[in-house]
Parts: sequence; structure tokens; C-alpha cells
Amino acid sequence: MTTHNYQIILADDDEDDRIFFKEAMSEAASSVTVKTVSDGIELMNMLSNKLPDAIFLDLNMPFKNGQECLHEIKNNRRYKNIPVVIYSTSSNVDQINSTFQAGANLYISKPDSYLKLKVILKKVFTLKCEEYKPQPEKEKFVLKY
Amino acid sequence: MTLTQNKSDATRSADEAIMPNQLHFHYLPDYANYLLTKKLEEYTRKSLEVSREIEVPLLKFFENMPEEQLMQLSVEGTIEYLNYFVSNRVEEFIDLSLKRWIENQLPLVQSEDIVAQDISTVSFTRRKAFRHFLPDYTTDWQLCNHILEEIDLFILTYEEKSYNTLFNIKQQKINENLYFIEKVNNTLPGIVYVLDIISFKEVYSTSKREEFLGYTNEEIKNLGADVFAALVHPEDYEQRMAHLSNFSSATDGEIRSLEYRVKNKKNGYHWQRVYETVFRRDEAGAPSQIIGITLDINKEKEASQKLQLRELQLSEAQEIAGLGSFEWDLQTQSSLYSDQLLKIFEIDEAKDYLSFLQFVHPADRDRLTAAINAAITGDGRYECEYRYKNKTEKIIWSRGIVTFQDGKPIRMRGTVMDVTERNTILQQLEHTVELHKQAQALTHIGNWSWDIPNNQIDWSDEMYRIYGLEPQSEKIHFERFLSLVHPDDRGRRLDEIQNALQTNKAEDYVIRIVWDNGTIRVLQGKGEVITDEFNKPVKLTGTCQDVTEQYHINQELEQKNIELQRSNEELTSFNYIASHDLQEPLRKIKLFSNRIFEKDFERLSDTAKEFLPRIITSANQMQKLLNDLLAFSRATSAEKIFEKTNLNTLLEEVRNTLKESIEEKNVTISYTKLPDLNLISFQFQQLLENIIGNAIKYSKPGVPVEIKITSKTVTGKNYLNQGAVAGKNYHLLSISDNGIGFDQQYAQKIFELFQRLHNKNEYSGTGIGLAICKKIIQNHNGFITATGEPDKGATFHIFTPLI
Repeated sequence: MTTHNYQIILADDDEDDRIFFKEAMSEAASSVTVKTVSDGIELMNMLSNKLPDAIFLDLNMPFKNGQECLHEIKNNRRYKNIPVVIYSTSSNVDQINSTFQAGANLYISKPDSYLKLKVILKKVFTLKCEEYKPQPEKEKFVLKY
Repeated sequence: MTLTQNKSDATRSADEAIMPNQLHFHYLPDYANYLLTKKLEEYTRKSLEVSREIEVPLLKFFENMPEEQLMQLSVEGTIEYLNYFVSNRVEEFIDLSLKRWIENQLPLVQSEDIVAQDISTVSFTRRKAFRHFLPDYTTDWQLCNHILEEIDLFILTYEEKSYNTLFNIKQQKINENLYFIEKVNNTLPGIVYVLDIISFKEVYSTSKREEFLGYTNEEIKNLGADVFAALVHPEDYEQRMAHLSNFSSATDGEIRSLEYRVKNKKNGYHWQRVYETVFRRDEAGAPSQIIGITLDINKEKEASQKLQLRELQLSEAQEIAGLGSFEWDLQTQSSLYSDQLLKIFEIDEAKDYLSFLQFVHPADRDRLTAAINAAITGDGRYECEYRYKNKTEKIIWSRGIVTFQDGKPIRMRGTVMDVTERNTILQQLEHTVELHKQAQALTHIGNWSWDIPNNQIDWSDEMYRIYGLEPQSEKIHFERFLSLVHPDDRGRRLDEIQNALQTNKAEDYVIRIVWDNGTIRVLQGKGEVITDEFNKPVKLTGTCQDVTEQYHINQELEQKNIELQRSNEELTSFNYIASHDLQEPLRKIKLFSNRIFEKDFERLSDTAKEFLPRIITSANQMQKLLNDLLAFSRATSAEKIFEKTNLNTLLEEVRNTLKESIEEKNVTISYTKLPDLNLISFQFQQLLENIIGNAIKYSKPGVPVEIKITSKTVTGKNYLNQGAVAGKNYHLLSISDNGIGFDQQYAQKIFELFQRLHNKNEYSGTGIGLAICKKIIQNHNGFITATGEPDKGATFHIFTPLI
């Protein structure tokens, strides 16, 4: 992903994670603007205003969870080309499979250290377009440190 | 007959057309007048004389008539005859006389008695009589000539018409005969035919044959002499041919008959009977043609065969049943009897009553005689069971019916039966029934039988008890039975019964019944449909058992199972959620402590510097524990999808996953070519990962890790105490290492959840890994064992069943 004037949305109900993410992002790729929402409904509302360049999506959220959002996005003609990066605590195989099948572009399990988070975010933004769009190969779907 | 008349009419009108008024004579009337007036008697006498001279056949009918009377009759005829000539109405005369002939109005003579000779001789007579008196009448040669010409013309016309009439009458006669024959043929039950026995060709046959044999006369004709070979049954052919050739010796009027089979075009061979007699003989007098009639006796044959069969069957049945029959003429004291009767009584011929009575047991004689007397003097029915001994001791059961005529007993018909054996069996049966009753009471199995046409249900004593009723306290019919069934089960049971009667197959059933006191019992039963010879159900029988207790136990068990399943599911989801949700705060703890560690470590106090890494280690340990728990829970709950898996490929994957530690600890894993197995792939990979991971984890410090993997097929019976099933083959995968090993006494324990053999500080295990392995191998219906020796190493044996 190029980082030039990049606008992304992070949907995550966990405030700590939102803070860490914003902080790590500002250090990893300073030109990326991060907007955050705390649940799926907010996310879908925000999408109707302006399309972001990418969405980082937590799965476990109240009201409308990440899986539902993913489904809506990938089945909407306007939204379906927006890259969706799953950003979840879980590294459960079933969840990886189902999000891949629903059309998510990348999968990151939330790292347990700030350094690792920075590393992985950097990695995301150095990927070439064809490496995640429309979807990478299954083996390259889960991004590792 | 009509036909003939029409024809005669036609002939007549044709004659008139050819010569209209030809018979208008110019000279004859006058000559006739002369004869009538001058020569009447002479002329008549002359005619008679000539008639006799040339023997007119008709005259024989007048033989017995006195001469005088004949003469008078002749004179009357002559007068009439000559008058027609005088009045020149000769044609009218001819027609009139022919009419009389046809209509049979001739005196003494029947129309059909007239023959051709009559016509020619009468003509001759008339001509001669006419001519005889001509010289007396005239000497004019020319007149004479004219008269002769006219006589000739008359004779010609007369003969022609007469012959026509004769032919018509004959034709009519022939037609009548033909009609008669046709009628006879049609009413005859068979075919009449004439057969040339020299050429073996058929000369004549009535038209009925086609309906008889299906072959047209033409087809038969075309077969020619081959007709016998083609149509007669091969088994009868020779006999038929011999029968035909034997006709050479037949006398006239001798009728010979034969039965043989002839092929019917439509439906195979039919039996027929022929009656044949000689029809024609050749010059030498030998029969050349025979006439015959053939009758289809198929039905007769079948009936007689059936009768024979019946008789045979009856006698067989009597023999099987040990049944003899008799017919005793009470007037003459003679009797008819079946062979079987003699056998039963062990005698060679029927005896009179008194000598028969000698064989009857003395104690039974009076009773027997009384029974017979009672039948003869009473209602005619006789039945008696008595002991009999000739060669062997027997019990005879005899029954009979007396026929009365005008109140007098005529005869008694009846049967005798040797029931010695039956009585023994009956006694045994009674014994068996008693045993059966006791057995039913013990096992509480009742049996029932529903006689469908009579709607009567037979219940054993136990059935009544099952239904809470006093044994045999009431008659059971279908409606009563239904009323005992629990209202909620009635419709279903009715459907099941109807279904059984439709398919002739009764399924096992379970119903609830309600006792009179309101107790609800559960019954389980089996049924069977009994059908008659038309495959129509006539009986439904079965057994039945009160299974209320078992039913409740089963229901409880089912309930428990459901509960167990639910609690298992709850546990699984609890495991999953707990592990998953516990991860979240733990990750935060790690995240924040790492953040401090990475960013602000230098600024911490010394104590904080010491404790922070401990917090991080503990958090890591806990995360590992949670991950293992998650894996264990997944091993329990995940779907078990078996697929053909290559073990080599699987090991490569494991090697890949454990790459870092393999490199770090200098591990060599050696294995040969391994087989394909039917496995839950990802679980088996996890299993290998855990075991190989353990081998690496529990290695001796400083010693390069060597892991050896071998594979073979073993039979289950050698591993029965480890959990194998006898008769099954297993694939055994052994993984051994050179690590720290373990004491063999812990060989079972290491597979239990949270069981650890080492201090946490020495080796970082959660105590879940091998429990997961055990779970996984259980999912594969296999088993896992371990052998170990401290400081030497451990070997894990993984058994998976082969299909």
C-alpha cells in the first residue's frame, strides 16, 4: 500500500487497541490518516460518507460484529473494492478460513507488543497492490511478523 | 325348394319365349276328335298295351289295380288328354300335367317316383298310339305327313318340358339332401371326413374343422399326406398310422375308434376321439376310403384326469391323515370301504359287525354299539372313540352320518381315524401349553392372534395380565382391544395395523395401554401377518411384552444423554469462550508490560526492573496454557472429517512448523517412506507436532536431539489390554527420542490433563499437550501408549485402525 495521503478506518471496540494502533501507525507510516470507530454500525455509517483507502476490522465487536461488516462490504458494489484487513485477537483457524472465504484481503492477529505492531503495520504498507488485491493466495492471507 | 320352383318358372317362361304358340296345331285337333269319338276305347287299350310292351316304369304302381279299374282310369285320362288336342290347348295340357307332377297330385304316384325312363317310354307310347290309328283316319299321304309332324312337335315339347321338370325335381331333392347334410354337420359335435387310406389324403371334410383345429381346409389339403406327421402328437403318431393301415381288414359297417392328440393351431394338442368305418372299396374289394367323425374330448380327458388325480389325492390324504372311509349298507349289512380303512383295522377284508366287535376293547364294546344304535334310531349322527386291538393297540376315532329313506335308516357313511399318536401328541401338547403358560408368566410375554374375518382376538393368559385383566375373563374383539389402547396411540396403532394388512408385513410396535384403574403401561410387540392361498391376510398374530420399566429407564437414559450432550456442548463453548476471552486481558497485560519494557525500562526502579520480566514470563506462560486449552477443546468438538493423508507430507509440515526449535536444538528426525492413512488430517498433524515438540522440549541439554520414526502394521489381538479390538489390524507409528525419558510407572499418567512430571522452571509444559494427543487418537478410534526410561529417552506408539 502506498502511504501517500492515505485514509484508513480502524473499527475496534477496544479503546486500548485503538490508541496503540494510532500511535504505532503514526510511527510506522506517518502520512496515513487513521479514523477510528468503536462498532460495526458506526463503521457502516462512516462508509456512506466517504470511501477510505482501507479498513482495519476487528471481529469481536458489539451491535454489528466484524464478520457481518465484512459480509456487507464485500457484497456492496460501492464498497467491495476497499481492502479489508482483519485485525483480531484470535488466530483461530475457523475464523481465518471464514474471513478468507468472505473476501477479506489480509489477516493480522493483534500482536502482544508495541514493537511487533509497528513491524507488522510497516509490512502492510510495503505490500504491493497485487499482493492483497483482490485477494492473496491462502498462504499469504495471514500476515506474520 | 323355393329355388327349384323359381328355376322351373324360369324354364317355363324361357320355353314360351322361344316358341310362342308353337303348339297351335292345324291337323291334330281333328284327328284327336276322330280318336275321341270313334276309337276311344281302342286307342286307350292300344296305349296300355304299348306301355306294357315297353315296360313304362310307372306302371308298376298300378300293378295291383284290377284291369277294369285301370282301363276306366285310363279312359278318363285319354278323354281329358284328347280333349286338349281337340280344343287345341295342348300346351296347357303339358303344363297342367307337369304342374300335377310337381305338386304331387298324380294318382298313386309320388312326384319323386317318376324317372327319366318314364318320360321317354310315355312319349314313345303316345307317339305309337297316335300313329297306330292314323291309317284308319286318313289315306291322304300329305295329311298324314302333317299330322306326324305335329305329333313329333308335341312329343318334342312334351319331352323337353318333362325332362326339365324332372331335373328340377332331382335338383331340388339334391339340394334338400345337401341342406340336410349341412345341418347335420353343423349340429354334429365333431368333424366328418372321408380319408383315402391308400394315399393318406383327405377326400372330404366338413367345414367345422377350422373352428376345431384352427387350420383351414386349404391348409390341411396343402399338407397332403404329411398331415398326420404334422398334426398328430409324436407319441400318438405310430398308433394312429397303425390304426389306419389296420382298416384293410375292416368289414362293412364295422366302426373302429381311437383316441389320440392332434395339434390345435392356437393352443397346443387336444385329445380327440375318432369313429371310423369303411366308406369305399377298390375293385378288389379292399377298403380304399374310410369315413369318420372326430370329437374333441379334451375336456372329457381333463376331467377324467382330474378325477383320477382327485381320487389319488383323496387316498393320499386319507393315508396321510390315517383316515379310512366306509359306507355301510344297513339293509344288506354289506359295506364299501377304502384301502386305508383295512390298514387301520389291520384286516384283509371287511368283516361283519360282530366279528369286528371282537377286536374292540371289551370295555368299549357296549359304548360303541350304543353310539351306533343311537345314530340309527336318533338324529343320524354317530361319533365314538374306542380302543381297538388286532395286531397293535390303537385308539380309533370314528364318525358317521346315517341316511334315512321314508324314516328308515338306509346306510351309514363315515370315517375312521387312528388317533393313537394324536392322543399322545395331544397329551404332550397339553403339557407344552402348560409349560408355555408358565414361561409366559415368568417372562411376561403374552401372545395374541386376531382372526380378521371373524374379528375375534385370542389372548394367552399372560396377555390378559399384561392388560390388567383376569385371564380369559372376557372375549376380546378388535374394538375392545382398541379401547384399551392409550387414546394418543390409537390412531398410530390403527395406521400400523392397516399398513401391515396392506403390505402383509407387520413391523415391531410400541404402544401405551390404559388399565381400568388408570395405570398406563408401555407394551412392545412383534407381529406377523398370516395370509390365505390368495395372499389375502386372514390373521394377525404376535407376541407382546410389558416394557414399562425398561421404557422409563430408557427414557431416563435418553434424557440423561441429552443432558450430557448439552453439558458437553456447554463445556466446549465455555472452554472456547473462556480461552478466547481470557486471551484478551492477557494480551493487554503483555502489551502494556512490553510497552513499558521497550520504552521506559531504563527509567524503572530496580525492583520494577526485576519484576517486570517476571510479569511478562507469567503472562507468556498463561497464554501458552490458554492456547493449549483451546487446542484441547477443539480436539473434542471439531468435526471429524477423515481423508486419505500421506504421513510423509504431514511430517514435512510439522517439521516446517517446528523449524525454529529444530534448528536451535540441532534436531535430526529420521524416517523412511511412510504409508497413506485415513486420518483427520489437521488433528493428526497437531498430534505429531505435540509429540515431536515434546521430544525436542524434553531433550537432554547439550545433546543433539535424535528422533526416529518407524511404521508397521500389527494385529489387534496382540494389544488387547492397551485398547485394541481383536480381529482388527492397526497401523503402528512409533516415535522415539533420546531425551530425558520418564519412569515407566507414569506411562499412563502423562496422557491425563494437567499432569506434569517436571517442575515448571525446568521444562515449560502446560500438561495439556499429551491429553490432546490422546483425545485426537481417540477421535481416530485408535490408541496411544508410551514407554520410557529416565535419561535414555521415550517412545510413543500411535495405533490407528486399518479399514
